[in-house]
Amino acid sequence: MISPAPYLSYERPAQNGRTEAQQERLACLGQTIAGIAHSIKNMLGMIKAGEYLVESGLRQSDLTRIADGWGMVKEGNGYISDLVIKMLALSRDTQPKYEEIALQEIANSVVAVLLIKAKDKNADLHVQIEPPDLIGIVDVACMREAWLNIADNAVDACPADTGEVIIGASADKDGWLNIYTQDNGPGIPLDVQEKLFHPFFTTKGQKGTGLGLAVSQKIVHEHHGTIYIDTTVKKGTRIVMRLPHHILTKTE
Amino acid sequence: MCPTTVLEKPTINTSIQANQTKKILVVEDSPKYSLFLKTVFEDHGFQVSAALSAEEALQFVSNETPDLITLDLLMPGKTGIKLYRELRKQSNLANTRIVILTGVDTDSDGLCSFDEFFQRVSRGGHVPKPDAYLTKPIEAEELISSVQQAMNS
Repeated sequence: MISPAPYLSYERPAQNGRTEAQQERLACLGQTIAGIAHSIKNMLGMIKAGEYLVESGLRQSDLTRIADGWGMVKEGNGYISDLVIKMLALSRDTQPKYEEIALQEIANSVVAVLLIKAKDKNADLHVQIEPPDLIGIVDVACMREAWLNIADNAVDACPADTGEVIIGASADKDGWLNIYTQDNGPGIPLDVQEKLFHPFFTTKGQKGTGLGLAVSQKIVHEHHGTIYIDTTVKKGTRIVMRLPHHILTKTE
Repeated sequence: MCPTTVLEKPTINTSIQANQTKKILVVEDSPKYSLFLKTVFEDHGFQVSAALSAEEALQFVSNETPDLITLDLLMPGKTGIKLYRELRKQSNLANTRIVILTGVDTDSDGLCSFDEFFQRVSRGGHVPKPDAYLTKPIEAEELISSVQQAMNS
């Protein structure tokens, strides 16, 4: 006698013969691919526009036009490289390689990267490490990336000419490490806050990959920490990467 | 082999002279993309002005009447949709062609097609359709061909 096929209640068949879990995975994959395609398409637009300016400049022996066009080609290429690096960072399952480091040192290297951008905007960058010789045990390259991503957003958010960004770190009494950035930008409305860590969500239009905060969050989680946003509309935003006790105590 | 439609290339060189009396206003918030559009149009003989914001665009059209306006939909401040409605209301622009040129960002603007754009534009009452609806990235040839078509329509 043939027994009836068992009904698998934990994987309910859904549309097109796919289970709900499969549908969800496909939807998620579809969104990710759409996000990647959209970002690359935008930048290809920039590269194509740059190509046109270079060619037009060559036809008319106009060096300024060639330089403008070449700048756009480079910007587009730089963006796509950045996108690929961030996508790889998101997809890798990495274990932090902990090292002891003065947080001042990482903060300075973050400032060094953002200096030109801040200068263009006439914004001030301050490093504020309390105590100044605060040591953390972190994966230096990853934490630098995580910090840079939130600091880059802070510089983008702050107003031109009166912008101020603090790139800071402090230790709690209970030994937790707070690595943060603080800006005096417009703050983040609630509906945007909800999407901030979603891959490919960006408020920067073509200038953002929408992956920076997702990467920062992943790095913080790999350090067993949490990341949170403290924001007041019209006053500014503080993004804090809070790393647990055991990281700091390793230095003691 | 698949049947192919051979699109005739626009006769760009011969029309440069004809374009020289035509004025285009480029409304685009990205200075770099604006430079690209300006260069493409100038290379094809048009007289081009650029506005980097909706406010600049409105200021410009209060004094001048371009033959055609290219309009980016995603701009900070006043959106392209609001600006489109306002431009269509201006009596001096009755004969001005308006071409939408958009990056189409479904996440931040909820726009993904001409139909959706037009539906949203029409919510504030009847508004004429744009003379062309183009999406970025766009090749210079396609842009010129569409603009010339819009001007001749």
